[in-house]
Amino acid sequence: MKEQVLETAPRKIKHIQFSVLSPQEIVKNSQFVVTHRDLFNENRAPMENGVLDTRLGTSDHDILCETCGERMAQCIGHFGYIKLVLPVFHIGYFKAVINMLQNICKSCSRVLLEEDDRRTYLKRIRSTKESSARGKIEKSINALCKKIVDCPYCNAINGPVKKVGAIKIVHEKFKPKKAHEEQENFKNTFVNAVESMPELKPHIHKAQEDLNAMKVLELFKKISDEDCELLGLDPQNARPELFIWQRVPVPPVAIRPSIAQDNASTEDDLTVKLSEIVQTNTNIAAALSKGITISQLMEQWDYLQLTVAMYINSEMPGLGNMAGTKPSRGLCQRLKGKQGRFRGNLSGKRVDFSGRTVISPDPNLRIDEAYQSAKDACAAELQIGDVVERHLRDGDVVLFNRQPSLHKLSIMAHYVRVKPWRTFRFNECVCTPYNADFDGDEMNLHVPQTEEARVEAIELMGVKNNLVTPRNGDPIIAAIQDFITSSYLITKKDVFYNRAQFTQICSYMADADLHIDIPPPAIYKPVRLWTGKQIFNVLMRPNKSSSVLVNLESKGRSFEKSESRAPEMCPNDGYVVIQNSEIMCGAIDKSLVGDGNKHSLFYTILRDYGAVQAADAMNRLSKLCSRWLANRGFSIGISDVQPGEILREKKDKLITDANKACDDLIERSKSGKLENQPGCNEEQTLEAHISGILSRVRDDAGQICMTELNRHNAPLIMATCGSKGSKINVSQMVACVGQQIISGSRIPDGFQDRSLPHFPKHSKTPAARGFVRNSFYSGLTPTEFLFHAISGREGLVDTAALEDLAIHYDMSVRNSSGGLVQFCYGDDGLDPAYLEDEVLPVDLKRNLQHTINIVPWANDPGLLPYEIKEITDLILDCDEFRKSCTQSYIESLQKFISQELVEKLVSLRQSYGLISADERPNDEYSDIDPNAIGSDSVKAIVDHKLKITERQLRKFLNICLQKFVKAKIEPGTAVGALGAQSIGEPGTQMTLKTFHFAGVASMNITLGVPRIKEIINASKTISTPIITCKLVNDSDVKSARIVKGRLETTYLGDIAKYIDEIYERDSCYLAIKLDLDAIQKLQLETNIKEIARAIVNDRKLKLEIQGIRIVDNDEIDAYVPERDGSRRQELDKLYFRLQVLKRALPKVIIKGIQTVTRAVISEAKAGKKQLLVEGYGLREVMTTEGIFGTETTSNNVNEVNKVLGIEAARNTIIQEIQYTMGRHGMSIDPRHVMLLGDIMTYKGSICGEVLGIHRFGISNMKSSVLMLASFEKTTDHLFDAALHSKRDCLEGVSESIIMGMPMQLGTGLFKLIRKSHLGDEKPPRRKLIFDSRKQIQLF
Amino acid sequence: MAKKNILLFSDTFNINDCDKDGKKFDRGRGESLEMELVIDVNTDLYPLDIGDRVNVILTTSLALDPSKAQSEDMITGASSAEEMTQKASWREKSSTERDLSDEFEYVMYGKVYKYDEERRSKVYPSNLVISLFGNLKLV
Repeated sequence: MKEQVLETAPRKIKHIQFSVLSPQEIVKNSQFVVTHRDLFNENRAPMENGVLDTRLGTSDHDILCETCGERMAQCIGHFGYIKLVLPVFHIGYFKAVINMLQNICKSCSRVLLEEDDRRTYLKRIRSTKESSARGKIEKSINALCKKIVDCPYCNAINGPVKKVGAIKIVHEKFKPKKAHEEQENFKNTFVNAVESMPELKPHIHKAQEDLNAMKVLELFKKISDEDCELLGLDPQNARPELFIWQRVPVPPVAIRPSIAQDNASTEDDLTVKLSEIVQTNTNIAAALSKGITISQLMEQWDYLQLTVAMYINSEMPGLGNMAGTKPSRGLCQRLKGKQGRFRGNLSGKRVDFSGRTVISPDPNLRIDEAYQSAKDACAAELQIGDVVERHLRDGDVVLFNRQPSLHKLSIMAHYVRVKPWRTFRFNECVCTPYNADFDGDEMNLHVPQTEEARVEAIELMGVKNNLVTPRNGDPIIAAIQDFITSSYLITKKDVFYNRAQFTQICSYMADADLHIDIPPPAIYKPVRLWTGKQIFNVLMRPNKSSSVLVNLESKGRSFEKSESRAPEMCPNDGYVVIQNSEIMCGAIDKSLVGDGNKHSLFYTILRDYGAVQAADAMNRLSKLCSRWLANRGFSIGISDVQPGEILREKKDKLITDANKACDDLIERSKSGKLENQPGCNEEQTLEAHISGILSRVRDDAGQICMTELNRHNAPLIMATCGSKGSKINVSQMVACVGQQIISGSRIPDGFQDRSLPHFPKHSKTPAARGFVRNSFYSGLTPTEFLFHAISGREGLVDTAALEDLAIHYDMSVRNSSGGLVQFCYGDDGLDPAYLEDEVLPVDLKRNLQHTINIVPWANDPGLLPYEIKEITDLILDCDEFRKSCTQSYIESLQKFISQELVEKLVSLRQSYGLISADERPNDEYSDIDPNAIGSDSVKAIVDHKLKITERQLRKFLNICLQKFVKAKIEPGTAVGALGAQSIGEPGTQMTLKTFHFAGVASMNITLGVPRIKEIINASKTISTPIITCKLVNDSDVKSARIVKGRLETTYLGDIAKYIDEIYERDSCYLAIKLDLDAIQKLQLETNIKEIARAIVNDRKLKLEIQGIRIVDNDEIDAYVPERDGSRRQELDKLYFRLQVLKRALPKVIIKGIQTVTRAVISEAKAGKKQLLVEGYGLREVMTTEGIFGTETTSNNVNEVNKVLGIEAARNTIIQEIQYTMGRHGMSIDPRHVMLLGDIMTYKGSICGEVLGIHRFGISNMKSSVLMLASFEKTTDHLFDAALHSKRDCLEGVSESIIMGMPMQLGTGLFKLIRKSHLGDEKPPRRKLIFDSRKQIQLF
Repeated sequence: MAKKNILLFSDTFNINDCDKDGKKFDRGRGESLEMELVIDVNTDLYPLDIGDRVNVILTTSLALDPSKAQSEDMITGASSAEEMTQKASWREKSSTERDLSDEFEYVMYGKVYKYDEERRSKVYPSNLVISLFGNLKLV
């Protein structure tokens, strides 16, 4: 057996320090200098002093490493180095080098800051630890230095420093005006050159100072340590000169093995590049000693520079990668990307003890089992010391996984059952969490190797312990498809079996290993017959010794509500009542045995009797259903989708009518008779009407199908019981496919003014806009087929930032470095997976009924109302309750009991004329029995209706306590990852949709994945910002309109009758005539003076107050201001200026908030009006008169943060996510969303903004280099880390995985602390080796 | 309780309607007289037509001698028609044994699981019993 992972490893990596190697260190770590460019000598052996020298290690099986003498597999490899004759830039630090050059004086190497600035910045930079904050300071230093021309220390002139080409830096020294004189001097130095080469002349003025690597190196060497700090460096670890190559380390051969192929070998890209570097380097050395022309030398140098750059990063833009050739892989490329070192080898590693193959279903397996194929053992030649791995056997624990692993249920632990053949098999009930089907899907399997791992896997990841999703506590492992179909068919009302049939079916549900008690038959005479429902009774409780007593009342899918009958009397048998594991009524369908419903059978068993019983019941169900259905037969054929005569007629009429109605609408719209809906233009109104009609067609057609189709129709059965497909799908097959919709509207134009060239332009008929009138049975026309095929989905949300959040032992939520995110998880510290109710861990109503049913009456007297109250208070007040439950939970219990028991009983007793007995009788009446009055029969009636005994009440409260205690979240739970998965996973199921907002047809809001992305990324601009305002007077439309007028921007053009140019003899002006009527109608609160002021205040117009004249009460004259200049020019200009003004004037805003696009009055609840404002400007809207500022919110997170603060922003995030998910019919536990809101805002008080969960947000949130490098932009983060000498403390999840350490989460959070056996006494100090030797020498 | 009276209810009904929708189930339902009764009956075994008269009783036991009745749970039956019952053993009785069921043509077994009051029915006394027989119910 494999050794378990020891936490007390002899050495533990505490942190990783990033820095740069100095030339000296490179030499020290190396074995030798690489000087030879050739790889092999004439004997085809590695060349000595070449890049494949055997002293660097070996990639050949037969050759030993010359340094350590080990074989290929043992030798870890050794470094060499190349001594560069001329220094070159390091491409990874190139940007940083330019930045540093911009900051320093190019003559004296001092940082270009005045002494005062220098000191303040130094102080700030020294006191800041946060990397993002330091980045900001560095940026501001850089900005400041760029502006300074004269060096404050040596007075030299500094121009801008720029990158030229790919790897060249130029200092434009002569750009500043001051440098003119100097430039002249500089030019003069070329006088001689120009004389001999006249063609040089035109280029001389372009000459600037070239900062080559050598020069930069000299400059950097002069920088003082203090200045290094200002450059953002740590002078101990990373002096600026180290960022320039002087020595290039040659990595071991092991990482760049040569591949030998019959007498020829293929070399790794790195080897090729290295030998190129050596070659160029020797060339330069030779050239320097021999002496060649400067231009040739520069060419060689540039080539060396380029090669070194390519060696590091071959994808740098501008490095002249030739298209067509295979791109070489530099060091950066080895790290980057999905297959790169980080994501391919460090974060995800290849493992032993794993397998992958095709999956197939098997209902005969338990839900927590998985089949493996048996293999033949083939051990032949064993030697002593060999480890023999055993095969899997039945009962082993394995981890089973299907990609994409979107949530924690994508990896679960199963028990092994070894069987023949080659596929992995598992029970269909487990398909849902894996999202697996059997159309060729493959799955992975991992075998934990230690006993600890096995226990942990089966306890935490076992299928049985993951029957519910942590997203909202709904059951996720449940019956699917055929299981639901057959459950439904078995429990239909007209199913009767005789004894032989009944017992046969009962025996289906087990493998002859189950004792079954046959219940009494439902019909005694004339023949003994059992019903199908009784089979289900047996399934729930196979024999008398089983303790499972299910009590459940729930609506089925086909339930029809009617006031005039009891729910049980539903004609569709749609109301299910199960009492003590006996089905009283109702057919079992998806809502009872399927997933995603808390009122389901298996969920009830799970909550009341535990996972084992629930899983057993599910096993029985899957066996029973598959065997029963195989016997009965269930298939679908062409006859199932053939519409009958009546159906076809009805459907044709329906479609003809709809077409006619649409044509009519289009006609009316063309002639302008269609009345616009509020807030819509003509087109939108028409569109809304037509969509309404067409969507009704499909619904109606579906309804006809439901009534007209035979009830034995297979698709119909599947749709009714919910096993596969919906009613819409049935009607699509039988009647009509219906309107196709893309992002909330009908099919848009794909061609000019039409969707397809088959239709006339501008056609708005149903057929031209994607209405498919045919059914799948009748066949689609070509255009219909195309429309039907248009549809799409959006990718999922990436939520990586939450991975290291865990519950700690004080129940707080903290990240890996101990930073506090929530004081108590979700405010109550409960696990979302254990909630039966929306908020409570106990579904009080059902549990009360359950307790009353399972605890026998045993002639106990029923409690009187006051007795119930007293007992409840007594129990709730005891220590057990007070210590382990929250106050709010106790209060809700009290409230429930007084509402459901006490008050009901009191009113019941009163209506039957009994003493209400809601108070304990006072002393004088204490001898009167409240039960004395009233006849026995009346009392019996009351008892039948509501009776609870003391034992029942106590049991109920005890259940409430137990369930609450169980629901407390465990320390170590990785709540962050759970939350991220819970929010991310449903994203895959969301289709892009926009919905009409709160009854206003024209106001759409983005929903679905795009909206979730907006919220999570904390986008600054969102696609549909809406401010919801509460009005002071919310009952009156008129006053709402007035407020609307205050908000909406009104332009001068909207309220002007005309704007005319007036030319008079001595002047010309624009006359603006106001439409007073319109102002009146729009309810604008303005007058001519205000309008005039608005015109003057518009900066763009540049009108002066004198230039405005008010004539009468409805005319404003605007004069173009005069300017100096010759009379003639002035006149010309005047005309044009007048024209410009005329064009600009209608755009003048005279009322309203500029950022508001529009406002719409909408009806909220109960006729109350509210105002929906589209656009930004929450602050302005809030302060507008007539609006309750305190009850006005925006859906824009950033704006809320800016205006109302970080807590309000958090609330907005939570609300918006819940709203969006809710609109898609998905529920997510509020705890997950709260956590997301907290993680986005918990740094709000420090940095004052909402951090988005995207790469910028994450890099602000996280400080770990390894984590960031494994996430995105791998090499950038690594270079940055070296530059700033960052230190990674290896606390987080990603870092632990990379380093191969247990992570501080889940079971890794727990540490055992024990007292030292030494007590308080300190262990003796161990002597160092040399200490003892010294002593020996002394004596 | 059991000793007092095993007969909980007895009345005669006129079948005045049979499976309104006609199609919901292959086997139908009927209802009737003085007090309204909606009951699911396996019409393959016991065909009922509109206008038929049935006597329905509700008992806790099939035993003729009340003192021997063991279960207080429930039963019913209908004379010339039907009955409903719970018995200690549901196995075939010997031909010599006699019990209540001999007087009825159709006997069902079930459980009274809920008492409810329905105010809508004016004809009746205050009480309405919903009970259930396997999957058959009576209101």
